[in-house]
Amino acid sequence: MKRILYIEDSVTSQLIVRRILSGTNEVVIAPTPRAGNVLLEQNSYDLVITDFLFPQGDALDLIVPLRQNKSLMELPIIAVSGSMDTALVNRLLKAGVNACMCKPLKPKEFQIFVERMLQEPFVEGYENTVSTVNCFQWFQHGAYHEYCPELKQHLTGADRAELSNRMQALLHEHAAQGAQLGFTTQERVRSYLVQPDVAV
Amino acid sequence: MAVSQTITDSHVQDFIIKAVNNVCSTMMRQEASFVEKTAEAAYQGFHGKSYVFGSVGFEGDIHGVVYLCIPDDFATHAASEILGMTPSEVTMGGGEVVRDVIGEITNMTVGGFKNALCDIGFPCKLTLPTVVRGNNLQVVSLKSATRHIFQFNCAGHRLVADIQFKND
Repeated sequence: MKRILYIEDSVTSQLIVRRILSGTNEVVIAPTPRAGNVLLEQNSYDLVITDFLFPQGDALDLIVPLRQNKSLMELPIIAVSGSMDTALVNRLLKAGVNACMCKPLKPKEFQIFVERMLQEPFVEGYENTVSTVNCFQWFQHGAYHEYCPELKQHLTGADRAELSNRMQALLHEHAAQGAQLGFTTQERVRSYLVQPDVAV
Repeated sequence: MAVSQTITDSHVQDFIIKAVNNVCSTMMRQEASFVEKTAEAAYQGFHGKSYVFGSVGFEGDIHGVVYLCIPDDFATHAASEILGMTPSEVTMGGGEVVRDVIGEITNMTVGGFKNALCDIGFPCKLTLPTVVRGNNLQVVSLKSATRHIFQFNCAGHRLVADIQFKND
C-alpha cells in the first residue's frame, strides 16, 4: 500500500480526496504546509498532493524547502487548485512540482492520474521551459574544474568539453526530477591580490 | 494564449456559466441550467429566505469579487451530496460543515471563472473564500463597480452568481 500525504485546509476536499484514493492507498492529511513539512521530516511517503492557497501562505512554503532537501528531491508532488491558470502551473512546475490538476477533481481521472504518478513518477512539460543556469569553470593544478552553485556540484577533469557535457547531463537529470533551476541571477569574476607576508 | 483588450458581457456570461456548470456537475453530479441575466435595478435580492453567501475576490490586471448566493436548504443538500452524509448528519455537524463546503464550491467556481479571464489576457489571483449565512442577506454594490447578476437553476433551487468588476 502506497502512502500519500495530502496537504489541504478544506475539510470538504480532504474528504473527497480521501474517498477517491483510500481504496488502494493510505492517505495522511496535513492541514497546512508547515504541518506537511513536519510530517515529511518524520515519515516517508510515496507521493505528496498539495492544495495551493492556504490562510497562512501557499504551497511554495512546502515545495521550495522540499526540493532543496536532497533526500526528498525525487518525491513526486502533485499540486491541485481551483486557481490553476497557465502562469501558476508554470510557476509551480518551475518550483519543482511534478504535475498540476485543476479543481474540481474528476474522481476517475484523478485516481488514474495519481496511480500513474505512483507507478512511474513523471514531470509535466510546461511553457517557456528554457532556463539559464550559470556555472563556473576554471583551470587549476593541471585540471579543469566546473562548479554549479544551484546543484552545489564541483566536477573536475582533464578535458574541458567533456567536463561541460557532464555538468549539462547533471542539470538535465535534476530538471527532469523537477528541481528548481535557473535562479543564478548574476555572475562576476573578482580577482584578489594576496601577499602572505603582508599583514591585512 | 489569446489576448483580448476588453472583457465583454458575453465573456463574463460564458465564463461564469461554464464555471458553475463544471462545479455542479463534478461536485454534486447535478446540472445547473442558466436561467437569466438580471439587471441590477430589477434585482429583488433574497428577502425572507435563509441563504448562504460565498465570496471570493480576484486581484491583478483586473479586480473584483464574485458572490455565490445559495439557498440554505440547497446548501445542506449540496453538502450531504458532496460529503456522502445524510442532510440530518450535515445539520448535526453544525454550521462549519456547510460553511466549508460552500467555501470550497465558491473557490472552485470563482477559480474557473478567473482562469478563463487569465486565458484572455487578464492575469489575476484569487483571495481566500469568505462565507456568511443568514436571513435577508444582501449583496451591496461596490463603489464604481460594474455588476453582473446571473441566475441558475440546480435541482429546483435558484442559485445566483453576482459578479462585480471594480473600475479603477
